Amino acid sequence: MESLLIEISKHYTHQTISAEHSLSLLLDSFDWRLYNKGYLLRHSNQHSELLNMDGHLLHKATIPQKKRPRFIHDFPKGKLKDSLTSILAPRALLERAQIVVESCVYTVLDQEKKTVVRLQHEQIFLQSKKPLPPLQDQLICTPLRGYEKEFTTITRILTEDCGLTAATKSENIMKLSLEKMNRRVKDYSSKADLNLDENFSGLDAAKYILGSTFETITRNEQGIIDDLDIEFLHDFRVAVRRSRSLLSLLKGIFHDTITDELKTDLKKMGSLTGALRDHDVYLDKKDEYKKMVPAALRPGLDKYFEDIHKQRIDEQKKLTQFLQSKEYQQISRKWQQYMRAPQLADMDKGNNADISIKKLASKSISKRYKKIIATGQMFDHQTEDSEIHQMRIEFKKLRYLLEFFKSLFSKNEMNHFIQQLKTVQNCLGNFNDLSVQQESLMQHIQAMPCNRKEHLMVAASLGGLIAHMSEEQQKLRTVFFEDFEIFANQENQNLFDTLIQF
Amino acid sequence: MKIIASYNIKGGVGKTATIVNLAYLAAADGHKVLLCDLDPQGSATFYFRIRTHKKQTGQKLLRGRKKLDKFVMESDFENLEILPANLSYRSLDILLNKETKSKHILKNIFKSYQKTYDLILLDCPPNITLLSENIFYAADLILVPIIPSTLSIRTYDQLLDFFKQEKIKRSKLIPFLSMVEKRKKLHTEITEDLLNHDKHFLRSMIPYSANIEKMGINRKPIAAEIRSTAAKQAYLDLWQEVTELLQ
Repeated sequence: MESLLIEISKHYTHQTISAEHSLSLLLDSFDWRLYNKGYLLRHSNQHSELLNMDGHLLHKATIPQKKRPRFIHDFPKGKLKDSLTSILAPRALLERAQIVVESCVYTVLDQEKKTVVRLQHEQIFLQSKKPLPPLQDQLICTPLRGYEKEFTTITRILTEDCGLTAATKSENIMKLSLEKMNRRVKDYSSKADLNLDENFSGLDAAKYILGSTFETITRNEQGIIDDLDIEFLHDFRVAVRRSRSLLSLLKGIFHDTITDELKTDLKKMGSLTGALRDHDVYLDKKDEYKKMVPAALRPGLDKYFEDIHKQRIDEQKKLTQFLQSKEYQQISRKWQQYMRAPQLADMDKGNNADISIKKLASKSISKRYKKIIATGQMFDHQTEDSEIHQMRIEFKKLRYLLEFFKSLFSKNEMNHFIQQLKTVQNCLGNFNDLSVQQESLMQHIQAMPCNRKEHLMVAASLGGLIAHMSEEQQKLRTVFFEDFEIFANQENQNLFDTLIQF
Repeated sequence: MKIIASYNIKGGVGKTATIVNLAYLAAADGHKVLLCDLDPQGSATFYFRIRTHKKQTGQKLLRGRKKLDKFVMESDFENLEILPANLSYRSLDILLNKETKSKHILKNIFKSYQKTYDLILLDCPPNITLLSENIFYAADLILVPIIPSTLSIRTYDQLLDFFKQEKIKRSKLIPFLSMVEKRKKLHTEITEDLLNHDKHFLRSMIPYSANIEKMGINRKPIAAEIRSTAAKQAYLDLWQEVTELLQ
C-alpha cells in the first residue's frame, strides 16, 4: 500500500483517516438460506451488515443486545430485517466462519485539501492462531460526486503506474472461508437431489433413496438436541416419513423380515417426535392464533401458550434422551450402513429387488394417480371430512413418488406436476392442521379443572379459537374442490399418461 | 423534503456559520442534505473547500434541475452535497426581474428534488430583493440570526413588516440570538429582554467565539471538530430545536 501512496503523492496529497481491525462472524442458516439467495450476513460488535455476493453493502442494522443475532426477531425494524424475514424464518442463524477484517481508509486531496477520492484498503483473513495469507486483499476506490476527473486520474495511476488490475468479479468470502477450513458451502439441503440411473434395479434405487433419507436424519440429530430451531426436527420427521412411504409404495424390494424391522424402527422414530413437533407448530403460530380471537380473549390464550411452552420443554428433554440413547444410535447407524453396503445377501432381497426401477416406479405412480382421480371425481359437498383426510394421504404418497423418481422421467413435466400437487397439498395440509388443532384444543379444555376463574378464561379463549378454526376449515373445502378440478382436468390427465408409460 | 434558509437583511451576523454547521449536523443524523449556497460571496462553498465550476452561472440556476445537477459536489461528509455559489450570482436579481418577475421560481426548482433529498439548506445573501422573496416562499423555515444589538433588532423589525405587507406566513420566521458576548452589558440586557418578551425566539443561542472565526482557517464546520467547545454545543442545541420544529 505504501508504494501506491508514494505514486499518488506525486500528483495529490493524501491523508490516513482510519485503520481498523475487527473480528466478524459470517452467519447463515443450517440449510444455507441466505447463501442460496445470494446474500452474505456479517456481524461484528452489535453491527450486522447484509451484503450481496460481490461484497456490496445492501443494508445494515445495529443490534440492541450484546449477543449476536440468532433469529429474525433479534433484528430491529428496518430494511435489513425486511429483506431477511421471508427467507430465514423460522430458521436460526448459525456461525459459519470467523473472519478478521483489516481496513485502512485514506482520502486523496486536491489543492484546497478537499477530498476528491476515497481509498479503502481491505484485507480479509480467516480467524486463526497462526498467520494466514488473506482470503481477499482489495483496494476500493470510491469517487465523489463532482470529482469524476480526479477519479479517472487516480485509477489511471493505480492501474498504469502501479500495475494494479481492476477486479472483474469479487471473491465470495463465505465460500473462500469454508474452503480454507476444508468444508463446503451448501453442504445441507432439506430437498435432497436424487439422481437415479434408469438402469438401477429396484433394490439399487431403494438403497440409494433410503441412504439419502437416513443421512438427512443423522444430519439433523444434533440440531434437535441443541434445540437450535424447529426446522431440524421438521426435516428429521419428513425424512422418516419419506422412508416409511417408500417402503410401503415399493413393495417387495427387501425381504419381509428386513422391511418389517425397518418399518418398526421408523415408526418409533416418528411417534417419539410427534408431540414435540405439534408443540413447535403451535408456538410458531402463536401470534396468528392471537389475531383469530377478540382482544378480550387474548390473555386466556397467553396462559394456554405458557402451558404448551412448559410441555414443550419436557418433550424436548425426552426426545434428547432418546436421540442420545444407545438404542437409537444403533438403529440409525445400522440402517445407514445397511443402505450403503455395496452388496446385499440374497436372503435380504424381496421378489421385486431385481426389477428395473423405472418399471416399478411407473407402475406405482400410475396406480396412485388413477386412484386419486377416481376417488376425487366422486366427491361432492356431502363428502365427509374423513374422506378428505384420506385424500390428503393419497396426495402425499403421490408427491413423494414423484419427488423420488423425477430424475427417471422428463424433468420439466415432473416439476409441473409436483408444483400442482404442492398447491392441492397445501390446501389439504391446512385443512388437516385445522382438524388436528381443534381436536387437541378440545382435549385441552376437557382435561382442565374448571373450578377456577383463570381456567374458565382459558376455556373461553380456546372456544373462540375453535369457532374461528371451524369456519376457516369449511372455507378450505371449497378451495380444495376448485384446486382438484384443475389438477384432474383432461389435459393434465393426457399429459400424465404420456409421461408415465410402462 | 423540507427547506431551511438562513437569512438576515444585515450581513456579518453568523448566517453562513449557522447553515454550514446545521448542514453537517443534519447529514450526520442520517438526513440526505443539499446545501445550496446562494450568496455570491460563496463563504459556505469556501468552508467546504469546494471550487466552483467555471461553467456554472446564475442563468443555469434558474433553468432548473437538469442544468444544475452536474454542478452538485459531494462534500467530505457522508450524506452532504453542496451546490456551490458563483460570483455570477450577484446578478441573479437582475435575471429574475428580467425573466419572470416570479416569486415562486426557486420553490418550483427545489420541488424537483423532493425524492432526492430530505433537507435542502439555503445560505442567502444579505438584502431584500426579488431573490429573497423567492427564498421566503420556497423555505419551510427561515432561520434569522440576530446579534443582540439595536441595529440588528431594527432589521428584524423591518423583516417582520415586510412579511406582514406581503402577507407571507409569519410562522416561517425563526429568530435566534447569534454572536452573543456575555461580557458586554448591552448584550446581556437585550438578550434577557428578548427571551422574556418575544416567544418567537429560539431558546438556544450562539455565543461569540474565536473558534467560530477560526472556521475560515480550518475550513471545516465547528460541529465536525472532535474537540467539544461551547460553540459546538450551541450548534448542537440549535439543531435539536430546529429538528423539533421540523416535526
